[in-house]
Amino acid sequence: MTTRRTALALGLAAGGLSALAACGPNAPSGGGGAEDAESLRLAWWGNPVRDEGIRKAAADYQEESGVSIAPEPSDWGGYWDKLATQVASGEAPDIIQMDEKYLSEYGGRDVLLDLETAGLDVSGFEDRVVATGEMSGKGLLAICGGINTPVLLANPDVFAQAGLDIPDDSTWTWDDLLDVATRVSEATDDGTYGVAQLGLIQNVFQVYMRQLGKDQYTADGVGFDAEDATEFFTFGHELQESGAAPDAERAVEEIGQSLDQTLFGTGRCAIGTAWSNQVVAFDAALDGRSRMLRLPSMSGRAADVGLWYKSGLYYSVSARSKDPEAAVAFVDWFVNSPEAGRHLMVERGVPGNIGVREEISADLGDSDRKAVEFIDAIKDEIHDPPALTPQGGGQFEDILNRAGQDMLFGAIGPADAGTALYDEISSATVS
Amino acid sequence: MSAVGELTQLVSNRNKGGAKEKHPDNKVGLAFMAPWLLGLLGITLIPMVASFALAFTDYSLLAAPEFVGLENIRRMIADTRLHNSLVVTFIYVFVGTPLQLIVALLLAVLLNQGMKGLSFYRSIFYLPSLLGGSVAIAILWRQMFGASGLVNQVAGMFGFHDLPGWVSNPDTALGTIILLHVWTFGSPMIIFLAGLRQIPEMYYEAASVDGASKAAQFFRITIPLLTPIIFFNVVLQVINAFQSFTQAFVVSGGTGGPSDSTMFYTLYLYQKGFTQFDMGYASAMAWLLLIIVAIFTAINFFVSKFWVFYDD
Repeated sequence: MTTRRTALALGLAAGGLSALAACGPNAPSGGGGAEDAESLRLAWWGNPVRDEGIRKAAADYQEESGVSIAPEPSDWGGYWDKLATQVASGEAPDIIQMDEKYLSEYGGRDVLLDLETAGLDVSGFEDRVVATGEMSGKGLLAICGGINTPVLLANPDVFAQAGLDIPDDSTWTWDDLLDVATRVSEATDDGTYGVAQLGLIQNVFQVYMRQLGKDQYTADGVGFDAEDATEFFTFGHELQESGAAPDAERAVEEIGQSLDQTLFGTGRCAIGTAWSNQVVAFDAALDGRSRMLRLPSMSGRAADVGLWYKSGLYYSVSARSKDPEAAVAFVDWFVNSPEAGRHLMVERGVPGNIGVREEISADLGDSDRKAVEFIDAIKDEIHDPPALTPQGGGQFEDILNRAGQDMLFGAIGPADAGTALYDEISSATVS
Repeated sequence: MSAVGELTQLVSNRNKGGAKEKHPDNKVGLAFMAPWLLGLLGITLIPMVASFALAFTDYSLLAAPEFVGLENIRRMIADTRLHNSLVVTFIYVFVGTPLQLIVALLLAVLLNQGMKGLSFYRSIFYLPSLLGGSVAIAILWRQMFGASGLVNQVAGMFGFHDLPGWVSNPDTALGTIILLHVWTFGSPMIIFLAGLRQIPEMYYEAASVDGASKAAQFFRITIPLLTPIIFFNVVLQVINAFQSFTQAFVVSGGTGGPSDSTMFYTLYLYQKGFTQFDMGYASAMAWLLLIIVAIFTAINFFVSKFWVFYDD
């Protein structure tokens, strides 16, 4: 009797275990990392447009070289948590899409390969663009995957609703922006505003600091002081008080929203902030109607705006990759070949390789063209790029948001917000 | 007796060289327990030991851990954001749990009246509890309570305009998450229903014969006889509430809400460990949470002597 029962129990257990195996992460139908020795893992964050482009490029590379690329896409929010955990468990992807915010964190801890010694061909890039991926003492840890710069986008339809013209962006000042945005808010319905709440936006903060003769970071750490931050927050406060920007709650709801869900993306804001390559995504939501503008300056002269060529994203290779040569070969193809460039156009930014940029210029869509022309138009106004974000600096946006929100909800004044911002980022970046 | 207790007794029986007939049964029993045992070891016990070791290190996830002694504890004492997250979590636990249990009890009493379609109503009221911990519902909740969300639109139909965005205002954001917690009253309600069924009818009959009102019956008969069940629900719900993460993470978009107003302790722990590359500190926080939950559970058990009434 016992033997029959035992046999029955073991049989059920075996059946149960195999059923469990079928729904596990290594299930045959599930997908995930390929076990093929010849394949490389490529991780990126993005959006559906970028996902499709990269998959097509990977398929092309597989045809050409026989090396297959296993895709691991994510959205921005979850990407970094996942990457940190993957590195900790020794399972980092071979090719990693990298951002300037975290380059020091990963690069400073020897997670990334030096691409220059590994033989990556950077001859098609301008030196200053290549330099954005270098870390002193560590070499070239990441190669630019696309150039962008902070911009403002204007919605001509909302301006038309308000009966106003879009201002001339080569001569306007911060006060002009405040003025026109206030008038747009007043002249349009409730729920439509003149400008997004700039006081919570990191790239506007950085431009503002550069116009004050400082910067967000220098080689020694934090590059601004509490008074500079207070000046910036005072401007944000005025935007809210005058009605030019949405009220505190709506401004908070904008944070972390996908682009097509923001006030600007749904046509309820005349001026929104963006990186230049995001015009493609915004135009998809706005039927291609947006116009790209420079940020204002303090003096009214375009050359004083302080813009720079930022690498919107980079590609790095994991230092512990099982096949670093193959990974570097793929990155080389990915950033230097016109075929790869054609699949992604300027969605990640204007290609860093000048040859690729020229090759794709004939096929640019309207939105892509706006980004490329803007990058080209400001080339004589470009200043030096800022210092790399130091370790701990990845929290800057959170700190800026918290201090800014406390101020917008009236809990503290701009001066206290400026001090809080300076104190917190200083202690976060102390190494 | 708990499973672990039985297991130890099984093992010690074998050591005593006791009745030989027990041996084959022990083997089968242990074989059945093997998956659970492996899980207990691999997913619970070993990580707990590792986490305790990590609590005394500086571990960025990207590089090997470095021993730093009590530095993490010193930082925890000075960390005002951590104190704030404790306040937020305490408010959530001590406001949300009583509210949830009161709603659960009232509905259980209502459903206990016996009515047509009772099983239908029971399932419907249990449904939010199944969905409530999910990401999808939290996302919906965030939309509903936004500045132009469903709640404000409906209120607008009744003439209340210009209401604040509930989820994006620091004063009310935590309230929306507490509301979500209260909405998932299903499981305590089912347990209360079971407890209500166990109360013998004769008490109520005797009371009505003596002329007691419904309210008096409720407070003098139902509640005292339900106290063991209430105690069980309180202990369980408090432990669960301290560990809440998903709702806060999704409703605040991972940020801890406007001005840290929804920064639950577990959410701050997650941020510290995974986004700020400070896993050693997060491990120390995890052990502090364990100590806090243990203290409150002990307090619950101690105080229960004074208000829980056991029939036997």
